[in-house]
Amino acid sequence: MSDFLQQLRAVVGDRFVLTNPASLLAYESDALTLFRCQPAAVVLPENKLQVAACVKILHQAQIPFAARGAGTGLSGGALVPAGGVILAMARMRRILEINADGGWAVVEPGVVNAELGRQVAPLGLRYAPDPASQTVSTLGGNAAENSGGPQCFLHGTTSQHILAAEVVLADGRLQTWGTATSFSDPLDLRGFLLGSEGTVGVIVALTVRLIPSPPSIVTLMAAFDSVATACASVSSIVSAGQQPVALEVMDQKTIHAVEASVYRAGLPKDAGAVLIVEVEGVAERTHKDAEAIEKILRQHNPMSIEKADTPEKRVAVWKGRKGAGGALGQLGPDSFVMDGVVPRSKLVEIMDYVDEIEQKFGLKIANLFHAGDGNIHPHITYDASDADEVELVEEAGTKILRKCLELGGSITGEHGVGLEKQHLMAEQFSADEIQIMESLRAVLNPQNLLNPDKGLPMKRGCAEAFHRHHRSAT
Amino acid sequence: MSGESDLIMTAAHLDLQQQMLQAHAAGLTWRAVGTQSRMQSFVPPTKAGDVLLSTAELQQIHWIDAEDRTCEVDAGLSPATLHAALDEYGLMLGHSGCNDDVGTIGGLLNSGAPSLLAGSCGLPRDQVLGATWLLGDGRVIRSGARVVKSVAGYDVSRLLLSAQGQLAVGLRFILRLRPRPSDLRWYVLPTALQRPPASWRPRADFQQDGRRFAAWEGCDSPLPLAQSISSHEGDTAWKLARQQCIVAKHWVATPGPWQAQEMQAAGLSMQQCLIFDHLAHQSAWPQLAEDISLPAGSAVLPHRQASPWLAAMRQALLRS
Repeated sequence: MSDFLQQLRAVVGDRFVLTNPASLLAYESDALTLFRCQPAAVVLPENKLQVAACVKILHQAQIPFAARGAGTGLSGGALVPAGGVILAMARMRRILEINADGGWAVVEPGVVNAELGRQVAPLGLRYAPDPASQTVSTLGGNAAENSGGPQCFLHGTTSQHILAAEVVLADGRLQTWGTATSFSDPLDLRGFLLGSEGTVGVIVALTVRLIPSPPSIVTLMAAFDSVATACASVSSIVSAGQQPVALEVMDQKTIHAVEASVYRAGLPKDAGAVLIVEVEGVAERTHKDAEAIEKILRQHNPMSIEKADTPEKRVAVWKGRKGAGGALGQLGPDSFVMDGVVPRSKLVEIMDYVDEIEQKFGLKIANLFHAGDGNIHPHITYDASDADEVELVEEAGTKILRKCLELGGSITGEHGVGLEKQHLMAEQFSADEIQIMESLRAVLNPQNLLNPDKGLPMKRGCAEAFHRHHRSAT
Repeated sequence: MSGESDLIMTAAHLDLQQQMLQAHAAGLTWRAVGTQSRMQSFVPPTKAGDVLLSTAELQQIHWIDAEDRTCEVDAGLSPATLHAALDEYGLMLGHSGCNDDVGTIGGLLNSGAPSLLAGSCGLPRDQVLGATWLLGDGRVIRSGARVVKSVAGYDVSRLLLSAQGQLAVGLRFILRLRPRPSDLRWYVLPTALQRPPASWRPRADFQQDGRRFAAWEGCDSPLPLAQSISSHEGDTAWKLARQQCIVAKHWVATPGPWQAQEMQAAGLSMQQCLIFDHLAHQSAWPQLAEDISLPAGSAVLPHRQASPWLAAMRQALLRS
């Protein structure tokens, strides 16, 4: 057994260092199964001191490593090259402190997003970022990716809800960036860490912002004959100065998949698209806003408008929306969930282009997206055992993201660059801008041991460390 | 934004770039400033010998996209000018604070200045979607994106802004906009200690002279004891709030875990400590202490020292 593995076992205990190939199987990819690479070992530390000790050992042995939450990432961010080590945060799932008066909580990185919500709800509080994976994904992973979610239209992404982070640096030193009550630090390394895809530090604790639960919520569900009409109604709502919490669209393929699954929410199957609009706040205001929005929706000739006016109905609607990604899994053996952003005013244009790509490439693409943010998620169904189809999917995905850039958008709104979108970074940023990002990363991660080769374009020769997955036909 | 830069540099941009190149060639330290209206109270004062690179001449609003609720403006524009321009579109920057008439957008974002709307909109820096920067070696780069959501690459904007003009000069900023509240009502609570119910989320909330002021949007009667003092933005309470923003930001707050560590290290108990909410440079403390009448037995924790990472980051931003 390698020296470094012996040392790691001495820190966390034998049973928390996994090296058996069968055990490692679950760690060879994240939710983007297009990329796979089995780590040499998976280590499950119990607390921050163990993390720091493990990182020191790995740093000394010059072993590449990456932290991993629940592995729900969608860009291949939680993989290490062959010979690398995964630090799995599954045992670090304690909520260390809740300060209801101060409006914050301190959590370990392995706490599941929705679990924090459950714990603070009785105090009249909530944690706002709500990625669709929130029943499984962890706060550490959410912070590393700067996750979004439907409610981010009003409340902002994860970075606006993390007040401070305690991190283990690439050499094993512990540092705290940010404060619970301070508005800013002398240098906002907390902000630099969030969304850095685990490349500048291992998060071992987070101070998260809690906000009051809204006294009143109204959720509207409008059915339209097409995605274009749903998008047009979104533009009208925004132009009217309304500020809903969420504006979510699902197309017909998604509606059918949801209704055929355990997530069924009573969505109208004959609709070309469904728009979910949610408003929250003081009761008087919420109802006034909902009425105004309903009026706007009616100007676009909806097939129907339903109001989820009880908590049960609202839960059902959101179960359908947040379960849609899972429901779409039934359309084929493999899925590629994309993530791109366009200015909201270009939504119709990009959705037309996605349709064009679907026809041209003969693929099956379903769409569900955060319309308020212009954040699209084309969901391509394919068969990984068909090498030609895999190539086609990648080419289609690249074309869609290039179109996002052409329309003034971004190659990723919430899933991150990971391994998936590195080849497009040079199309969004100039050579100088990428070099600056590399140089800033090198200050905190000088040897590139910490989640190597993610987020930024790889150096020549590094790409071979991760292989694209072509599943053998059975 | 895409690939290689297609940024059009104005004469004022080029002038600043020239000054930066000269400072770089001469090995001089430089510092980005606007009108310097926030010096002392929010950011450390400049040092003798610093080359001051002023963005005050950069005053253009490049575009306002009402449909996407975004705009791009020069760093030297005054927030008040931007507020007025956005009024025409029924939009606002999610910010309200002091110095808006005399300061600059660049100063506002760089200084970490407070906002009365921080509770509902986040900090001024949270409104930044993208930016254009002049680096110490004369290069011009952009960060972020034009859209309201992007996680491509590192959040360089936040890092550079937090360095308060010591890492790069912010030339232009792409900002997120919000609909202007049509019905913002101010309430005053009888005592500063009285807290609104947890379920209410005020748009703004500050204390002054032993009273607590709060604003809610479109709410007729948020609290039985509260006295409504105004019903529209722009009248007395709002102006008062802006003027008193410096004082308001130094609330006595519940210490967070990291402050607790600092207090422990300083040998102070929780009860003895007044937690200063955020940046206030040491030179401004005596005046601030007078302004807010520190309770007996209070102590002021030292402001955090400059980040130990600053020098390395500054070096990293120069062409290798």
